[in-house]
Amino acid sequence: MPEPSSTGRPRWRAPRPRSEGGARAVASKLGAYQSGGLLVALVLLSVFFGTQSAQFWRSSNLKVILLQVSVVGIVAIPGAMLVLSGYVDLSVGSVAVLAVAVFGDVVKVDHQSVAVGIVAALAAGTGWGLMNGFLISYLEFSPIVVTLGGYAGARGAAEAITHDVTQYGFGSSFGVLGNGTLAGLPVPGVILIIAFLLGAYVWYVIPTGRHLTAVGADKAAARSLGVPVRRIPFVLYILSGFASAAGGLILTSQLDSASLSIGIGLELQVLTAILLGGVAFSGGRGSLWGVLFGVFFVGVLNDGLILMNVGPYYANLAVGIVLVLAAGSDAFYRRLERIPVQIDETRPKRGAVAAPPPTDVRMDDAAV
Amino acid sequence: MSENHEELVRASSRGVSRKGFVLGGAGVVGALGLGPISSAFAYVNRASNTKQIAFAQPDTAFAGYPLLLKGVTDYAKSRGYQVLESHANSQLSAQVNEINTWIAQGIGGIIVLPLDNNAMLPLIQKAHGAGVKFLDYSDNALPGVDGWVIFNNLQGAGLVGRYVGNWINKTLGGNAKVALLTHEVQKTGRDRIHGGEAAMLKVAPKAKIVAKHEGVLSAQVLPVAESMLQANPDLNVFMCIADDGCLGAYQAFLQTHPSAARQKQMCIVGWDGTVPVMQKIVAGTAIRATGVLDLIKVGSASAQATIDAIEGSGATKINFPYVVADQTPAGIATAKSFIRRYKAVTH
Repeated sequence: MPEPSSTGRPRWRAPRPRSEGGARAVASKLGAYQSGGLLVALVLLSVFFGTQSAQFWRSSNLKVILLQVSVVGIVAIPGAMLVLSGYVDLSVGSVAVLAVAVFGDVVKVDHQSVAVGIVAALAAGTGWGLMNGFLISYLEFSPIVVTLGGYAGARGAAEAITHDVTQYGFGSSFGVLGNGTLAGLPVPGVILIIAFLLGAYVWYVIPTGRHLTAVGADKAAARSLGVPVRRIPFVLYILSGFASAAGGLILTSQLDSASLSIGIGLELQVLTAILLGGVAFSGGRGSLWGVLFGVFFVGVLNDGLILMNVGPYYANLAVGIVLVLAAGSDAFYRRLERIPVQIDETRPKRGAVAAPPPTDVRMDDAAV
Repeated sequence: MSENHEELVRASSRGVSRKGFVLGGAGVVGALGLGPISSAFAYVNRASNTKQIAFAQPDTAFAGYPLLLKGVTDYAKSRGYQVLESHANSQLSAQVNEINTWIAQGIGGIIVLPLDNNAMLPLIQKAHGAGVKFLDYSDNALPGVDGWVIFNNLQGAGLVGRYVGNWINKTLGGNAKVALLTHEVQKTGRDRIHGGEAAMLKVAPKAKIVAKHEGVLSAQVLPVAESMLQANPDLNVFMCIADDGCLGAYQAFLQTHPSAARQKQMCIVGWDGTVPVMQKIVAGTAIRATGVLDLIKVGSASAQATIDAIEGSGATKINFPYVVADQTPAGIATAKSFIRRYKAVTH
């Protein structure tokens, strides 16, 4: 069916697929992008909180949610890539506080400029990541043991640097990093968006994304295909250290205080978002979109429960129940994803295997 | 093919070689031989450990910790004792483990801020069985302890609560929306917040509690306070279980870009008396009051009670009152005096 294009030349459109599955086909297509269930759960959760609190949909509240999830999101992007590759970083919270301690010490004790402090903090985080990466990738130490060591060691180093003295009062210009706005959005939110776009480029566009999946699915096979199985996690640990330090600096800016309470529980929040987002803990399967949904799901949940003023006795219980429901919803969608849906008149006849819908990279399914 | 062969060679080299076996065996024999010597060292350590006391403040990220520790270490040093610090990071299981370790070491005495009072009861028995003195410093005396340093939390709660009530009456004509940042699992948390709430409502009965959530440290409180301010944009009071949380609530309030008039209608209060909070009180910000415990004196009293319990002399039961630092002239003078003393320690 030709139709004129802007150049005047006829343009041919493919025959419009005829959907036979109706709602199921839509659901399956959503599921095809992985964590479609989580997206639906996120929408349902938002609708629910919207009905419970008039403040929920206000732009100021949505900006607050973006602000609240930014640090977890920024740290979760390289974290998700590590988990996809079959590795994990449990030291992110402690590396964040180490960077914060270095920043506070450089600026307030050594009386250097804030810029020097930022560089030193990022260098500390990156350096710790480099050490993690070297030990795990090249010396083949256990990722869990090394990063658990970092979990204790980096926080211990922070305490040793600060002697548990909290430095504060870094000035309004540094405050812009955590509390400022850019194009109407909180600066940490803008940083999260940029980090996500960079992450999505690596995950979906360039071959590195497929390499991450290959390493996570079967390292030996990936090595035989020429994938740099050591360099990939090495670089990812460096990025994870850098992102943790950046997250720590953002929180320091928000609090105007290099508090040692920064980063407590960050590793758990990051891992929750990653796993909730559908990245397999064993590696080889996952979607960065899913991780983003996971980050926002937890953020919306926490914000909504406070808006509803759910008491301290019930908040954790509610979080637990909703997270399990979300995980169940995602599992349900992944089942839907496996149901072949006939969407084209040129489909194979009954009995033939339908082509799978487009998915994010999933090598474990192929292996199964 | 050759790669597979190399892999096989590498794998086989990882197995236990004869040389490795011999060396390992020699190591085991050597260790057995050194057993009596190490036992002798253990005996020597047991004797010297009695000049050690453990100060089990489980939250070393707390901004007042250096002050507490300064009080403890200076006093202990003056009487020839060494101080062991906690690494529990606010985790009960870690606190129980480290107390067990100290008991096994046979140190002279332990003074604990319990994360769970009930969990301490078997440890008290165990410590007594090993000849280790066991004291607590917190909100009440545990049964069977050899002494205590008790903060009068309800008295401190009353001071701060009454300040808030009076502020509400004076500034807002008695009507206010109040948010509570709590720590319900700990008795100190319950005493401070429930006591503060009761004292406030006694003075300003029309004040209304509109939000309540767990939150102690600044990084925890920040997102909670952000959401509370979204739910209640006209909130007037944040009552925080600890000063550290006041800083998170204050930053969340500043993120709303409050006008000068709005800032006058916000009152953030807490307890502990840390330097950053007292500086903000003196500077006339929306952080208006804190219940101050003299942390250096609490530290030195903790060491004193523990050492007196070990040596069997002096006072082992000490009660500590709070004082209030607020934006009245007397309160500002109190805050300035504490800031001077505390800064001398931390700078």
